[in-house]
Amino acid sequence: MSTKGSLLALFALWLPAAGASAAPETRSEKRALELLKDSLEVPITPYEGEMRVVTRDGGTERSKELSVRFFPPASFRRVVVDPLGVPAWTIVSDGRTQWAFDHRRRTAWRSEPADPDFKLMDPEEEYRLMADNYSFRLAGTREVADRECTVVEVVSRDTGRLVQALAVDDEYGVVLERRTFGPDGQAASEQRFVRIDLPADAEGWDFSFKPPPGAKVVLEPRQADFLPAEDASEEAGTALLEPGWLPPGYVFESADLVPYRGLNLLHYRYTDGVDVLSLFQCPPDTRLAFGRPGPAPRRLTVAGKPARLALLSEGKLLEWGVGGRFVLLGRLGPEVLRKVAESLRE
Amino acid sequence: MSGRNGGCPLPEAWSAYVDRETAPGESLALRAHLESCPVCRLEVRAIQAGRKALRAAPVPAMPDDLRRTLEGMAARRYPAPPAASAAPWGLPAWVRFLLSPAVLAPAAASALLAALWLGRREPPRLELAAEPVELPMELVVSAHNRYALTLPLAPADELFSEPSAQLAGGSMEAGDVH
Repeated sequence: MSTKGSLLALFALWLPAAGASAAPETRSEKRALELLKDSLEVPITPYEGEMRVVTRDGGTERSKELSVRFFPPASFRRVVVDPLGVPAWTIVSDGRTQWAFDHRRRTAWRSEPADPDFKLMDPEEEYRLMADNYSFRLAGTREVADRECTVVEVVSRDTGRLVQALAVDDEYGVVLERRTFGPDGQAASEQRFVRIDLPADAEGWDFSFKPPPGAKVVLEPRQADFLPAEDASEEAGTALLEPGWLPPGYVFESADLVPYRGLNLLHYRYTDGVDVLSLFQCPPDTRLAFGRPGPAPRRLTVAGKPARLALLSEGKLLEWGVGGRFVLLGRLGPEVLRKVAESLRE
Repeated sequence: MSGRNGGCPLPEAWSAYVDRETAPGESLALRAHLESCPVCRLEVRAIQAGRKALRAAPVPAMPDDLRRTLEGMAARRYPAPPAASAAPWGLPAWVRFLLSPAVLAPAAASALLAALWLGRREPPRLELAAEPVELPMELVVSAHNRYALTLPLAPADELFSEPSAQLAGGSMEAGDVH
C-alpha cells in the first residue's frame, strides 16, 4: 500500500511526458489517467464499511461478505463473515505486521507484507510499462454505496480487451467498485462496497492483534524479497531458466525463493504493469497437490509431456515436468501458457 | 530523526531504511514520512539506485602487486612444513604426505563408512524418488498473490482470496509452528 502513495509524485511528473509520447492520446484518456492516479493514492481519510466480493474459478462462482476498516497510511482490519454472519477470518495489519486468524481452526498466521519499495523495477518504469500496455478511458458515472462515482476502464492495447473497470468515488478518490475480466471477456471478479462511511470516525480503532489463548500461531520465516534472477538461482542452487518467449508487453521484474520443508522453490515474476505471470521452478522429486475444491485439473501436454491445467480465481495454473517440475500461474489463456512453457531454456 | 527540510530524516536513516536495518517502529515512522515527502522519496530512490548499480557492478580483480605482497606475507607467516621440503626416504614429498597416518587413518574410516552405506538394502534416494514431496498448491498461489499485491492495480481477487493464499509458503513450515 505504501508504494501506491510514494509513487504518486513520480506518476505526476511522468504524466505530462506520457501525454507527449505514444501512450495517452486523447483528453478523455488523460482525464481517466488523472482519476486513476487519484484512486491509486493512499486515501488520506479513514473509512469503514461492508463489502461484497465475488470471484469465479472456472465455472464456479463464490461470494463473501467483509467488514472493512482502513486508517491511513496502511492500517486495516478486515473481517470475512460466513453466510450466517459469523466471523470466519480476521485479517489485521498495522502496515508492517499482518495477522490472519482462522476462527474455525483457531489458527493465527503472522506475516510481513512484501515491501514494494524494494522491487527491482523503479516506480516510474512500472507506470510506464502499465501505460505502454494499457489505455484508460472514462465510462460514465454510477452510484455505488449511495455515493457518486466515475467509472474508469482499463483496456489492453494489445488485444483491445477490457481488463478492469473501477468506480472511483468523486469526492475522495477511493475505489468503491472494481470489476475484473478474464481473457475471454467474461467477468472474473467483482469487489464492491455495499455501505461505506467516508470519512469515518476512527475514535478507538485498534489495529493490533493478540491471538486468543490456546490458538495455534504460525510465524512466517521471511519476508518476500526481490532478487535478480541470477542471484536467486545461485541461492537456490539451480540452473537459471529463461522463457524464450513471453506474452506481448510482459517483462521480467524479479525473482525470489519460496521455502517449504527444507526445500526452495524458485519464483520468477513477469509483469505487464497490471497483471503478473509467475514461473516456479520446483526441486526434483516434487509434485503439486491440487487441493482446492472445484473442477479437477485438465490434462494436456507440454512439449509432448503430461501437464495439468487448473482454473483458479487468480488465473490459470499450468503444471508440467520436463527434466524438472515447473508451474506457471497467470491471467492468460492456456495456449499462451503452453507457449511460454515450451520456450523455457537454461 | 531531525534533518534537512525542517524535520526530514537524515540520509543515514534512509540508508538504514533501504538496508532494512531500522527498528520496526522507526521503519513505520520513516514510511509514513515517505508518503508525504517527495524530497525524501527521491533520496530513497537515489540510494536504491546506488545499491542496484553496486550489485550489478563486476567484482574488480585484485591487482597483481597486491596479490604478490599478500602471498609473501602469508608465506612468511605460515611457512611450509619441513617434511614437504626434505626427502630422506627418496620419495616425493606429496607421496609421503599421502602415505602418512594423518591421511591414511581418516581415509580408511571413510572407506569403511562408504562400504556400509552402499551395502544398505534401500538407498534413501530411491525412496525419495518413489514418493515425491507434495507441494501444496496454496504455496505457489500465495507467492504469486503476495507479488501481485505490490502492483498499482492489484486485482481484487488476490486481495480478497482466502487469507491462507495470501500467506507465504514458509508459514507452512512445521518448524515454525508454536
